[in-house]
Formats: sequence, structure tokens, C-alpha cells
Amino acid sequence: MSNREHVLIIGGGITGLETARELIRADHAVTLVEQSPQLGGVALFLREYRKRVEELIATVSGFEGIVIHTATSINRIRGQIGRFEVTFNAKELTTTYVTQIVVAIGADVVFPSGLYPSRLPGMLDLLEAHRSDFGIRNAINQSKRVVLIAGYGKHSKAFTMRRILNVALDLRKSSGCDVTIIMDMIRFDGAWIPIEYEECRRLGILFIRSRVHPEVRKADERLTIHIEHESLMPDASGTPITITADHVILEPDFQPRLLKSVFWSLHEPRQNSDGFYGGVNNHYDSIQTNRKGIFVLGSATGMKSVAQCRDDVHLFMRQMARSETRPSVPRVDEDRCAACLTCARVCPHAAISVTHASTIDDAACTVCGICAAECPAEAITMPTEPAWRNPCAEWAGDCVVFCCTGSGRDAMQNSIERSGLPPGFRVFEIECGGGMRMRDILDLLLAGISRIVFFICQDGNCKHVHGNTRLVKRLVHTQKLLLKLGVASDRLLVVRTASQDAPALRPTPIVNA
Amino acid sequence: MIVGKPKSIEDIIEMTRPYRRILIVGCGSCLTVCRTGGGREISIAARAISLARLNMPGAFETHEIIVQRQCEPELCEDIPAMAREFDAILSFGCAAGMQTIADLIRTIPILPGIDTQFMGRIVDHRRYIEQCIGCGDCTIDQSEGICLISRCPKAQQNEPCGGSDPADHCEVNPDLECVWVTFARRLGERPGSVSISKIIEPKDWSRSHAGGVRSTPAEPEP
Repeated sequence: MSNREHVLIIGGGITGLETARELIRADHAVTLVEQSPQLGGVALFLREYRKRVEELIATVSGFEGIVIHTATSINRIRGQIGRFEVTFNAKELTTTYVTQIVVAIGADVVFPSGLYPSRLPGMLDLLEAHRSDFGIRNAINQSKRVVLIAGYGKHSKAFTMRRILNVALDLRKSSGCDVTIIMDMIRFDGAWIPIEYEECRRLGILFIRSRVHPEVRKADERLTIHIEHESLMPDASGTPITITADHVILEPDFQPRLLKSVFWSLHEPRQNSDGFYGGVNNHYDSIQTNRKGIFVLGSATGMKSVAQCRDDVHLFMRQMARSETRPSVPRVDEDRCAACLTCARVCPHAAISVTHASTIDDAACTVCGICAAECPAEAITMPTEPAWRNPCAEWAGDCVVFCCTGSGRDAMQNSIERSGLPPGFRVFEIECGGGMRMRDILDLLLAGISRIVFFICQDGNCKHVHGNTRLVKRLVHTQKLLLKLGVASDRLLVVRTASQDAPALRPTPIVNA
Repeated sequence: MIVGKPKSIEDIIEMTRPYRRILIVGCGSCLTVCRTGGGREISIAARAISLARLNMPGAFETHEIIVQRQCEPELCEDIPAMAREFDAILSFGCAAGMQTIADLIRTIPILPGIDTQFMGRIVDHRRYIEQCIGCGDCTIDQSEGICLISRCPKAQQNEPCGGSDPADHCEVNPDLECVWVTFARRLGERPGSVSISKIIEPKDWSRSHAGGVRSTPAEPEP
């Protein structure tokens, strides 16, 4: 794989633009697709970010290595890392090929209609109140009392709290109107909130706590808000309060944009219970989906602040750097290859096709080594020669531990942290136990290694589908062979483990498969 | 394809016991594909013999080599020179390959590493089935592309034996479907398929191995 990637960015919001800028600075090619006619997304309408977003649009548009399609929707995505085929509907139907995909589609901001089915005049959502245009600001500035209602939506998080406090402060300072904040509970998830909270209290902003969301009614030209007030005094608890206000600002709800229609043909992205993408399974980074080469960034993975979106971009750039340095694929010696199809049949990632000899698709290959271990002609060589393959005489009597990168490596680290590495243990990392050749096991035994231990994933957990079961079958076969040869068969051991385990370094005997 | 079965490791160790330096020759064709005589299998065999000989007195040495096709003398021409360094050759080719090497090398013994079994094809990963016995008189056109001689244990040519179980499995090898059931199923699949009632004439077995060692004509047609 060449170092220069061609990345498709879906979404021209602040996350998409930041990603584009970072990628072009790192000398990658970028195609950016935005659904609406204008770049910038939601952040363009937020006063504090407007200038930054405009600068970002100017910078990104000025780059040479970028192709930007606005008012464009993605029709179809097929293929795999290194060779995604993308069809999108610009002025005409266009197909392009990219190596990686960034999904930065963000989330839709919706009026909290679940709580307030009818939107009365004077009711706004927080982002509308925060917007820099539409004349809304003038209307709010002329009002005498503004009530902010927050915390009843399911997506409420710390950063919304911060925005609410900032809007309240802003209103109080700029127009001098009375500001009241009603919320189910006041949450401080970050160190910066109490400062703003103190500031609010100092400026006389009123906080009312109510478990039940308040009722808003239209009365004459103004709005009345009925609250089941929760007092600190037990007798007064539940006393209804009625406040009159010119404007009511509601915390908006966020809902993830529909991704499925685009990716249906390709994969099903992981969703959490709120419907956001990614970040559900702790085996994956929050920005990486269960499909290699597709990254979901920004608010598409959950409600995020601009700062958090930028963190995602930096995390993604680190991932990109890692993907560039990944090892190349195994090599096939065409003179030795008997085109027996074994590799194509055993490859868990369907990366191998065979015509006159095997061909390995470098985009789909994960370098697990199962093909090389199974190839009857030994025609497949792995890209790197592992250090353990030529054991020296000093190793005699030692215990060699192989840890798979899926679970064994983490479990081994936990064990070492807990009790240290016993003397005479030599630990090596292998991509998957399924890639361990039987001849290598016998070579180690011939070199006088007293025990060979494999830390592998538990049944059904192998990311190479059947790598762990293949290894166990191979070891059972080897053990039977050793019994016939008069060699002690307990020299081979398997520990099935999970990443969060810390197994004692006294391995249990192999379980008969 | 010729399918073989590896000899048991005990037999191989017993066979190789008198020799100190052994040349192990694999075959890169049929026996590689059926996973009995390729690079992977001979490397495992070499190490297994070495492990077994660890506790025996005297030095021991093996060397592995793969020939693209052992039954081709030209492809085996490097072996006689190499064989001078060794006490015995352990061949993982089919019987034809082993004999080709035996014809080339008269100074040291040739030991069989596998048992040659049959001509067949793959049915599943690592599973092969016999398809031909080399009778010399092919009649698969009269049985919808099925060799009744090799695929029926009783070589029933004109009717099933009637011994299959209720699930239509062969009474001799219950893992397999009765080949006459396969034949009957194929009859309706193609317009103009052969009639099951047509009698297949008795076979001329003199064209098979029963008629003596067979070979192609001394002067083959151009």
C-alpha cells in the first residue's frame, strides 16, 4: 500500500473540514461530499464558531489535493479498505475509488417535540437562540424574561449544560432581561461548569429544579410556565409555581442522521441505544467501525462539542499513521504453488483468489498467517520473519509463550503487571494462533524448549473467525504425534483468555477439541 | 488426481531406523494438493523423525526437497547427485514417483512415506473420494456421468443391489449416498437423458489391470 491515501469524507461540517485539512497537510488526496449546498454545517450558525468555520472553508477550498462536491448525496458504497467504490449524485452520477472513508455526517438537531408537541410562538431551541442570524437575537434581546428549560431530553450531557449557562449569561449581560433556568437536576461533569454556574448565580440568574418537565401555555401575548417545584422544605414540596415569560428556550434533542441507507450494501455500523454510530463495542476505537477503513467521527458517534470533534480528528490522524505502517501481505511463491485452493478455503477474510496460482488481496488481508500455516506446498511466506523462528541454544529448558494480538497480548500484560514474568519465560506476540505452523512447534521442541504455551482468544472470540480453533486442532494433532514419538505431550499448553483477564502464569492443560 | 495416505509415523520411524542420513523427497503435484506429500507434510515428518531419534545414539540428519512431479525423470535429475550424501531416500510421492526415483538411483534404498490409494477428487476440504479405477473401458456416457464401477462398492452396472438403508446410504460405506440413487436423480434433470432400463454391456476387463501391465503404444499417434 502506498503511503498516499485517497480518503472520502462524507459531511462538510466542522469535523469533515478539519479532517480534510489535516489529511491534505499530511499529503493525502481527499474527496469531500456535502449534502447541503454550503459547507460548514451546524457550526456555521453558532456565533462563537462562525469565524473559525469560515476560515476553515477558505483554507480547505484553497488546497489543490481536494475535490469538493456540495449538494451531493452518496448513492452507494461497495468494496473494502484500499478499494472502496463510491457512487454519488453530484451534477451527474459519478463513481470514484477511494482507499478509506471518513463518515462525519453529524447529528440532526431537533426541537424536543416529545415534551412539547405544539411549538408555541416564542418557544425556541437552544441552537436557534445561539444562532448569529435570523433576527431571533433581536426578538430575545427585547424580552423582559426568558426561561430556559433543560435536562429532560435523553441526550443531555455536560457540554449542553455549559451551552445553557453560556446562553443564560449572554442574555443576562447583553439585554439585562430576567433569566430563569429550569432543569431536572444540575449536573457538573467538568471542572469548568462550576465557574460559569457561580457567574450565573452572581448575576442573579434563577435556578429552579423540577423532576417533572414544566408545562408551557400561551397566555395573551406571553407564555406561562407551570412548574411542580421541588423545595428543600418538605412541607412546601410540590407547590406549583407559575412564571410568565416572553421567550422559552428549550434544550434541543439530537438524533443521528440515517447512515444505513448508504452503508447497507457494505456493512451495518454499530449503533448504541440512542442510535449513534460507533463507540459501542470496547474492542473498537470510538472512531473506528467494525469494518476496516471506515471511520465515524464527530457528532455521528454521539452528541459532541466542537472541541470533542477536533479530538476525534486527531485520533483519526493517529489511526491513519498506524494504517500506513501496517505490514504488507504474505508473498506467494508461484513456482511452488500447486493452486490447490487450500488458502482460499481457509482464509477467514476471503482475501485470496486462485487462478493459476494464489493471489492475495492486500486490502482484505489482515496478515493472520492462517494461509501460510495451512499451505501444503509451503508456498506462502509471511512478510516478516519472526524472532522466535530460529531458537538459539540458550533457550533450551525455557518456556515460550505465544500471545495472540486479539486477547492473549492484553491478558499477558495484565498477568505480568499483576505478578511479574517468572524466570525462564519468553513471551512472543503473534497475530493469531491460527498462523502458527506445526513445523515451527516441532522446531521449538527440537531446540529443547521445555514448554510451549499459547494465550489465545476464547471460543467464538477470534477476530480471525476460526484461528483459535485451528490452532487447538493442530495442537491436538501434534500431541497425538508426540505421544507416538515417546515425547511428553504436556509440553504443549493452551490458555483460552479474554483481554481483561489476568491468568496465572501456570497454564492449564490443553482441552481436547 | 492421485490420492495418497501418509504411513503411520511409527512405521516410518521403524523403516528409517537403520539409516543415519535421510533424504526426504516430496512431490509438488497430486500429493501436495491432497496434503500428504507436499512441503508442509515432509517438513513435519522430518521433524517428527528427528524428535523420535533424539534419544537414540548416533548422529542423525535429514534433508528435505520438493520435486515438481516425481513421476517425471527430467524433474528428478538433481536427486542422484544429492543422494550420494545420504543413506536412504524417503519418498512422499505416489508409487509412480517413488519408482521413477528408484529407477534413477540404484545405490541407496527408496522408502515409501505414503500409501498410494486411488484416483479421485475433492469433496470437501481435506476429504477425497475415489472416482476411477482405471478399467480402460469408460462408459460414463451410459450412466449420466457417473462411474458405476468405482463409485459402487459392488460395481453394479445395471441395477442397484437393494442394500441401501432408508436414507439411501450405501450398505458398505454408510457415509456415502448409494450411487444408484444419484444416478436415478440425474435421470430427470436433463432433456434426452439416458434410459435407466438400457442394459450396459459386460465390460472387457482385459483392458483393465487384469489384462496385464498397460502402457501407451510404443509409437503413439502424432
